[in-house]
Amino acid sequence: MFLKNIGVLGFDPLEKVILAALLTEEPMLIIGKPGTDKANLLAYISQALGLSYKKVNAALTCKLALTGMPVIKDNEDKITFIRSQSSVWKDEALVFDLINETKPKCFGLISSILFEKQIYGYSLDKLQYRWATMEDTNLFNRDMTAFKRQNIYLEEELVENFGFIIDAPTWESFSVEEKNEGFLTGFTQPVKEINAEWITFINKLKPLYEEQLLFPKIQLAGYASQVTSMMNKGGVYISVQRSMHLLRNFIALDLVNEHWPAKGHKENIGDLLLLGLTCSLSQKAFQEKLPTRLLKAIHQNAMQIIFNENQENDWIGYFMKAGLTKKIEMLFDEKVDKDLKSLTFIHFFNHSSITERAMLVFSAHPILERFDVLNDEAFNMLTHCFKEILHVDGELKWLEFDVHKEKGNLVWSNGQAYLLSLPGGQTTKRYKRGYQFFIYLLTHDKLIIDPGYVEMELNDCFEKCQMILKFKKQVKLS
Amino acid sequence: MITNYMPYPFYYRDGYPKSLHLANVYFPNEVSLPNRVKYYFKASVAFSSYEEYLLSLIVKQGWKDFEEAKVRLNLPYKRHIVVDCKEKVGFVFSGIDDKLVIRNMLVLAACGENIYHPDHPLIFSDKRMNRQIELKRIQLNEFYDVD
Repeated sequence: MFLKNIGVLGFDPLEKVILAALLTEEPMLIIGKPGTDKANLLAYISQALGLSYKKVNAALTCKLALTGMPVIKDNEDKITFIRSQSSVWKDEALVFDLINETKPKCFGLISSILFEKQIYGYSLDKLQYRWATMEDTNLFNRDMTAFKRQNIYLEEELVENFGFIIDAPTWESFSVEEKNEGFLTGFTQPVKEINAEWITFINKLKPLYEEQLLFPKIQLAGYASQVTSMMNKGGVYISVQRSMHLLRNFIALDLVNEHWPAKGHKENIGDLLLLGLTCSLSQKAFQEKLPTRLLKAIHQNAMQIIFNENQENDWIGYFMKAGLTKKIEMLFDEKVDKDLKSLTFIHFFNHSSITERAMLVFSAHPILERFDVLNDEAFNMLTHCFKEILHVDGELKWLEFDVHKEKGNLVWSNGQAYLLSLPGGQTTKRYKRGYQFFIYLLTHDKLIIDPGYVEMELNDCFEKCQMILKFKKQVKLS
Repeated sequence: MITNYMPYPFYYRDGYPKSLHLANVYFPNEVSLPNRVKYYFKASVAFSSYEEYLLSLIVKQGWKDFEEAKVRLNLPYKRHIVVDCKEKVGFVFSGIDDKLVIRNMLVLAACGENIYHPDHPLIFSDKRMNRQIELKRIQLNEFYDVD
């Protein structure tokens, strides 16, 4: 819809990916056969966004063309550059065409522009979008090009730095309408004017994207983590950097899909994640490509684990909504992956109230530790909080309104009165842990409005843990 | 006549700030103070790196490496909670009991901020080696009142 408005045809299935790439501002690699208009795509988009644009043929360019002539001024340590028309200092969008054929001499410079947005340490402040193109690796070394160029694969380390990696559409992937429309409007005549719709859409989503980078949706993070683990287990190498790219891409795609204009087509989360996954893997830049059926199988598996087939009742969402005792029970669900549990637990820990998380930690830490339910990162978080509860040492602060008739802290005396009313007196475990929990909350500036409710909830959690422990012992014995 | 005279302290309307110190240790299997095992390290001799110093002590004992030292000294082989001691030990010099120094250094190097991991790689950083800690492990039956 957006791309058609500016006269770009054939990229419809990848439209959301392209918009997501504009949102992330990370380098994008477009792979395709010759003549698929891949290098001009950013030119059309730059025109729509009103950005200054340059296309650089990486195979033919040289350092001086990109930087201009370096000059050392008298008595100064700084180098200045005499800029020419071909230098890239002021451009806001750049495309490096045929990046895999870059001369070794220029490689350092081009990769520093692409991935670090700088030239010899001088930053390119205006530069926003850096895309690159390369030929389809299926055509490599088949002598089909007129000059019989020696095709070279890109360095693996380099490919890892690209955010999205997409395939340019060929004639076969054009729809019938597009084929006809293309001939009617002329393929090479995109609309050359600023498109306010594009600018508003991108500007609206950018702050949201920055915000979500700090607190990503747990389902997206879970999916990225699951897919990475499954692929690595299955022998497909996915680096940590790539998995972070995956998550960032999913966040951007999700935002684009969520804010897609109402008249347009919104995809369901499953299709969207599959699209994001296919367009984020680095393997397509190399010789051994991943078969689509493998990707789909992995995707289905991850979806089943995280979204539990029915996309509304996902495991993580269910965990977050469940009560504390249910949460403890769910953590011991052996069908669920340990990493997923840990990720969910960390999410819960960061987004729950102090009372809620302290209850879970205080009651369940020992059995979670003993049965090795969580990974190291989550367990470290858990232990840190547990230590604070076990060793309380802090100030209880309040305001006394009448010095002559001091009443003390009403909340604390209310809590003490409740604890003393518990059956068994002060020697019982229930009293001791209730006491400990109350002073932990009070010294952490938490107001206990209903001590009875808090204590009973805590006691329920402890009873749940007791049951689990007894059950585990029975299983061990049998 | 308008004056700056204030009949009550400025915080009167919001009440007088009061505070109470609360401290408690909830640990069912807490042992008495003299019996606690504390791990700390302070050497009297100069050395270039913790690792080399420890290795020299290990070699002096006639052991091969860290792993052998771990086995010989019966270091805790399960995960423990690491708690920083409140009552700090003053001066402890090495050379009195080398085995004690080796044991303490090995434990400190395996302790993160909160957890002692016997299987994790040893890290000899200043932050780790300058701590005074106790290791604690919860007894499940006692904690949950289960027979």
